Amino acid sequence: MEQGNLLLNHNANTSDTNLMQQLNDQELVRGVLQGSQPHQRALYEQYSTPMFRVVLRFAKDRSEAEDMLQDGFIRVFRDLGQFRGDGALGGWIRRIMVNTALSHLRKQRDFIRDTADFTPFENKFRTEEDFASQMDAESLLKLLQKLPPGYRAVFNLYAVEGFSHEEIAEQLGITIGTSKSQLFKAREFLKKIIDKSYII
Amino acid sequence: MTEPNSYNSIDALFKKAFDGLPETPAPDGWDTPSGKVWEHVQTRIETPRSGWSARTLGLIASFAVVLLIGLYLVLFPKTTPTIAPVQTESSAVVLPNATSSPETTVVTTTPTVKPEIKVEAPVLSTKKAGKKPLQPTTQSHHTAPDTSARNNTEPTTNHVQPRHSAGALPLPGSKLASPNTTVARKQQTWQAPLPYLPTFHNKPNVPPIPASLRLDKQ
Repeated sequence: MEQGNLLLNHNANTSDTNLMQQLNDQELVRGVLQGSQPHQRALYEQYSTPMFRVVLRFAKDRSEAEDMLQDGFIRVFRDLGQFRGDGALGGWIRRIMVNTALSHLRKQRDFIRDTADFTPFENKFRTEEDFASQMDAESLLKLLQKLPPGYRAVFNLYAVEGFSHEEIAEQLGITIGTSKSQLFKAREFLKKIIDKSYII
Repeated sequence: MTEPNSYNSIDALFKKAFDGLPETPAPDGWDTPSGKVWEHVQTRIETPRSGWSARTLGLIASFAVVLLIGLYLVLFPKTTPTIAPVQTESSAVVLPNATSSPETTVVTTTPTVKPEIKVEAPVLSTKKAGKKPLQPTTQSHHTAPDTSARNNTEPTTNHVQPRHSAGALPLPGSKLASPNTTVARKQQTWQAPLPYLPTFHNKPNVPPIPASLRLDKQ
């Protein structure tokens, strides 16, 4: 972990950050492909935290997110030879993580469903701005994990990852109409929770 | 595509919250995976193998085995069966004494490699021997090949020829009498005395013939 952070901090302090990042990515990839265990460890330490944040948004809890992360990194190390280096290594790993999370969700039986247990947020906020300022990523993550798997996946892909409904439908194996309806219901669900959390 | 502002604000709220996270892990560790993840990942990492893979080595080994088997079959062909040489040798014993023709001698003494040829060789030689009625040493035309072969080995002084055909003609220039098998068989039959007919008078269990039934009663 420290080695990865040192790499990131070093890259942030360098004038040509992108170039250094690319070089480090290339060195990491080359070392991993040569079977170097320190390079494997460094790659994991560098990308485990940001990728864990990604899969946490798709999982219902921490345990499921760790399973997704584990399978995702196994895929990363298995397919690293296919990385051509024309883009950022982080983006390539992130796509693998999202695909792995979606694979986990697809394995769940009827993960696209319309029922949801509605429980208001415990915190009380005066305004929406107050809500936004008080809610950090961890709190929003807990709020997001209250959603059913289908709502959560479609909302994440659309709102955070920037997928279109066509891409979501293709990724999840659903129709575009289902994707739109799942997104609508996810937003309604989140809005109700937020509205109920306001102090009237 | 127009969407309500409340929806857009919700989307923006989440996107801003998750995209604006610092690169360093949170102090409380909510975004740090446990150490078990790396342990499991480490055990599943396949180290890249240098050199030839097992699949390549297997293909090369199988190709070498096939090549060796092919070379063995080419250099050491299958040996002849044990029965075929025995048949050839037996015909070789009989046929040289039967005729002194050069074809027969060549066929029987030539070593053969393939079993098919060895099996057919005696048949062809006997046919050739049977098709030589015009040779001066033979007496007549033989219908059966094996008999002709056997008769060729016998001297010409043998008068009784049981299997000779009745209409056989003597060779031109031959001084031998035509073999009449009917006469010869008749002579051979009558050389031995005929057995006596059974007599009822000598048998004790036979009852005497009544006088009324006797033919010589008059």
